[in-house]
Parts: sequence; C-alpha cells; structure tokens
Amino acid sequence: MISILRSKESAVFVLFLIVFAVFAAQSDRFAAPDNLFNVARQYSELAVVSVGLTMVIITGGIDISVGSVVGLSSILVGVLAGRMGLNIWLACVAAMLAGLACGAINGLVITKLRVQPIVATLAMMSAARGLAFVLTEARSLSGFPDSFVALGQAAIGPVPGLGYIPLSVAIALVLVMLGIVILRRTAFGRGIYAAGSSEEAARLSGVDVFRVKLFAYSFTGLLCGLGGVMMAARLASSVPDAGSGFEFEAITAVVMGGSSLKGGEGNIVGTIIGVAVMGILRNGLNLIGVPNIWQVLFLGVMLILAVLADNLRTMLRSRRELRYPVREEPGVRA
Amino acid sequence: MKSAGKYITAFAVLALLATTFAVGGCARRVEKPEAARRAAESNKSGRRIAFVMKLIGIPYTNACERGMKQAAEELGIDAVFLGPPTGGDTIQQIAIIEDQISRGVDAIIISPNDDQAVKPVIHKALSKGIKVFTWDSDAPESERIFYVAAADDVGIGVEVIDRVAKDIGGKGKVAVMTGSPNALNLKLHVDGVEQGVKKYPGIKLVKPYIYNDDDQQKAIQGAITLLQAHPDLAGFACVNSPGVPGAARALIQTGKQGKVVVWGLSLPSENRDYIKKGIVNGLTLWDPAKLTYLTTKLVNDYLDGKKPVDGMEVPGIGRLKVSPDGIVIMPGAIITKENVDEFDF
Repeated sequence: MISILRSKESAVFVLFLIVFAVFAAQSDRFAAPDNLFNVARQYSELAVVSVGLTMVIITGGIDISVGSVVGLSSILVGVLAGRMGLNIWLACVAAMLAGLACGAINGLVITKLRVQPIVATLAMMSAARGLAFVLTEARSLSGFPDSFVALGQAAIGPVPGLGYIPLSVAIALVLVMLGIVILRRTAFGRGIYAAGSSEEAARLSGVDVFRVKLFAYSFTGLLCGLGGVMMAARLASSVPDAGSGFEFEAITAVVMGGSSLKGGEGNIVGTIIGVAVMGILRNGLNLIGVPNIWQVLFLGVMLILAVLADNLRTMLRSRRELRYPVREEPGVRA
Repeated sequence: MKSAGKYITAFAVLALLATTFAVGGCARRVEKPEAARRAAESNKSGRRIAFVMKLIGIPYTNACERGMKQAAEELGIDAVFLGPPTGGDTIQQIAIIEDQISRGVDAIIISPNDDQAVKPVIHKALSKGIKVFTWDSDAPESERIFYVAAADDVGIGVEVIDRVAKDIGGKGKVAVMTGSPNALNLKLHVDGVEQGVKKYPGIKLVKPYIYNDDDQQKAIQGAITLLQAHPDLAGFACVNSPGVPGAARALIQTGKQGKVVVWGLSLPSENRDYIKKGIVNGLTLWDPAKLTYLTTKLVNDYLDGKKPVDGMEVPGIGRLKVSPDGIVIMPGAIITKENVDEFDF
C-alpha cells in the first residue's frame, strides 16, 4: 500500500483527480456515467496502443509510427472486406497481422540495422500512412456487414455497479491487464526494464536484448492493428487518416504516466491514467465550451510539463546519488 | 528524493490548472460579450445548438462562425461553433459530436469530414432526441433532417470548369485542386468538374488531382510541383478555399502569373489583390457567413416546428430551392475584377 502511494503513477493519479474535480464542478453533464463511457469509448483505441508504446519506451526506444499503423490496419479492413469481399473476420485478422508486420519491421530495422528508433519509426510512420492512402486513393471505405458494425457499438454486462461497459473499453481493459502481467510477472518483462536501464548490463546478465526489443515493437504493431480494427468498427468505415495524432497523444500519456524517455522505468497503470487525463481533459474542455484550438495548446503544455518533471526528477536523483553514493542494484543503472 | 519529485509534480499540476482556469476564463469572456449574455439571459427557451465544422481557424470557417453568431444573437439562442484544429480529422470531429451529445444540446449541425463515418454518431444523436442537420457538406445516407447547401455541389464544379474553359479558349491542360478527398461536398464539386469538362474535347484534366487538405502550404506546394511537371498548363480549377490563393502564389513564385488561368471557389478577402492584378480570373462562391446565418435560422425554425419550403424568400439571402430529399439550396454569386470590392468577407 505504501509503495503504491509513493510510486510515480500516484502523481498522475492526483492530476487525474484534480482535472476530474474541476470539470465535474463546471459541468453537470461531465461526471454522468453516460459521458464517462463516451470518453472511455473514444479513448479505448489509444489505450490499447499505449500499452505497447509503454513497453517500447521502457526499453529506451520510441515508436512514432503508431498512428499510421492504426490507419493502415483500419484501411485494410475496408479494402479486404468491403472491396475484395473477404470474410470480415478474416479481414480483421489480416489487418492485425499487417500491424504486427509493421511493428516487426520497426524492431528489425532498429536492432539489426542499428537505425535510431525515432528515424526508423519516422520512416514507418510515413510509409504506413502512404500505403493507407495509396490503397484507397485517400478515400474512406464503408459497407461492412451489420454484425461488425454492431460490434463497434456493442456493450457487455451488466457489470455490478457499472452497468453496461462498451465492448471496446472491455477489450482495452483486458489488454491493460495483459500488459501489466507481462511487465510485472514475467522474466520477459524484467528483460524490458533491464534493456532500457543499460543494454550492456542487461546483455551481460543474460537478457536477450534483441528478442526483448523485437517483441516490444512487434507487440506494439499488433496492438496498433487491433486499434485500427476497433476504430473501423466504431466508425462503421475505414478512414485512411484514422489514428492521426496518436503518436503525440500516446507519447504524452506514457510520459505523463511516469515512464522515462531515457528508458528503464515506467509502468502501464500510469500510462492508462495518462490516457484518461487526456480523455477527460479534451471532453471536459468541449463540455464547458473552450474552443478546440485551445486544446492543442493544452496538450502541448502537458507534454512539456511531463517531460520537464521527468528531467528534474532524474537530475535531483543523480545529484542525491552523488552525495550519497549508494549502489542500489549493481549494473541496473548505468 | 521522492518528496522533491512530488513537489515538482505538484508544481506541474498547479501550472496546468492555472492555464486551465486562465483559458477557461478568457474563452468564456470571448464567447459571451455583454450583448450576447443579455441575449442568452432573455433566451427563455434555453435553446442550445452546436455547429461542428470540418476544421476551425481558417478564414472560411471564421466567416461561418460569424454568420452563426449573428443569427444566434438575433434569435436569442445559445450557439457554439466547434471543429478539429487540423483539416481532415474525421476521428476528432466525431469525438466533438459525441461530446455535444453528452452536453445535451437541442440540435447539432455538421459539415462532415467523412460522410460515411458520421453515420453512426448521427444515429446516436437522433436516438437521444437531438435533431441533426448538415450544412456546407452533406451526409446523404445518414438520417440527418436536412442539408443546407450553397448552390448545388455538382453545379459549382460545372460552373468552375465552364469559366476556366471560356478563359483558355476551350483547349489545354487543366489542373484540379481540392481539399480532403473524403469531404462529400468536395467530391461532388470534383464530379461536377469531370462532368462539365466533357463538353470541351480540347481540355484535358491533369491527373493526379492536387489534394491540399485545406492547408495553404500544401496548396502552394502542390501547385508548384504540378507547374513543374506540366509547363504547358493552361488553367487551374480549384474547388476549396485555400486552392485559389495557393495557385496564385505558386504562379507568382514560378513567374507564370497571368499566363495560367485560375478560377475557383474561394473568399474575396483571400484573393482581392490577385483578382485585381489579373492573376486570379475569378471566383464562384457564396458568402459562408450568410450560409451559416441561414442555416442557424432554418434550424431554429425547425425546432419551432416550421420546415423549410421550396421557393421560400429569405430577406437578405434570396429565394431558396428545397428538393424532396431534404436539400436546401442558397443562391450563389460570381466574383470578378469588376465586383470584388462589393464583398467584404
């Protein structure tokens, strides 16, 4: 319990509570369950993608291609099912595999060709978005079977105390759990932290850094594929610019949630609270009538503040460690 | 070290909240000057409507907002003008619509970025008792109640290519410039250009078309690239508002001003100089402020139980055409060197 209170995600949780309270006081619609589920549904795809991105960032990498891969996956559902008449569920699987492939390419280019993550994923960002536009001549596609469209609007439940939960929110929750288990309970998860703290030390202590990184990027790609499918179902159409801006929102959420862009630390609980902060901030500003152009400024300010807080924390800690040179775990922090 | 981290986070939170309140406060001040507040207070019906545009912050959409505010003030209703800050952002636009459903407004009027993707959200709004309309761009397969258009969408495209054809003498290569490939009104304008060009066997439309995503820079770059690829280009047919000034600037930068014909759909304020210098031959358009003004009034009438009827005369606007499929058409205008100064938007 104490460790929960002292953890970095408690800071973002406090931020969440404050933002929540401010909007609840300003708009009587804000805290209505209907509206909160509305926000959760809008942000479920971002939450799914952010689970993977957290792992990538913990390895000390970055993936700015997430939004484009979501777009490509969304478009593939439309091209395969809508235009080529493939079974919708097969099309969904294919779209997710395409996401996985994009992620695996990212991982291989970064590990094998030793290209910096930001450059490798920048290339993928452009290539995947380009492919999505080329495949559809930049038009959106629709005409999905009713069963698929219904899924996008479906809710499961009733869950005691909560009522009906949108299916997409439930999917996001399951993946968040999965992400937490991978990071906290598996050797692989420990490998992800170790690779981010010090690649050299991790390698010496027997972590297969190549496999860890390849997994992190591939898993993120797969989750982007899933996000694209979820978005196609929610919108009942495949939109080539689906997921645009995701890279920014997801990175902001991850950093706000306490992950360090320098790698080695971070966790999914913080990330998800970060996603929630972004969601209620945008929704709340809309509800109280702040013009949308201001929201861009807000998100930018939040990202800067989150990064600044991270930098300051690191700076203070290293200063303290200089004064009291105590080695916590040999080899983990370079 | 933990406590230091906490102080920093607390500081960040405070800074953020300070910004929230500052922006919230000034946004409200901007939105509700004294007159409007009094109007809102005298608004006994408490009627609230929301316009959701494709994007906000370009001259065209600012003009739309002005028209809405004028009508809302006259009618004493509360109206907001929203939209994503960047062009072509379908997902954000839908999120904004969903938030307005949560807000429980009486009517939502949309200019969809994507006529297909808005169908589920329009259905959702109607199922909650919110009346949904479209203006500026339509979603004909959705359940929207009516669509207020500025001239008919295909007709505008035909008009633009007719004007270009006349000025280039019926033969030569013509470039087509549009905004987002998914906006239905733009798709229909382009369809109009394609239909209209069939009358002129000597004219060839250059492929691919330029998609500028309602972005001035992309419009200029697209036009320059095209001018380099086709040095013998005879004309530009532009169907969205950044297209015309984009083509004009591209011509100036490549030293071809006056040698290539430019016609399109745009605002006089963005093109006044270009028209006077003969770089832009003319504009076919409507006043976006009037279009939104008219839409606000028609929506308010509908909420009062009065539907628009064919042949209806609206003061300051003209005679409306209303088709059985719920399309209301406002009369448009042609702007050239001779009359450009009569238009102040």
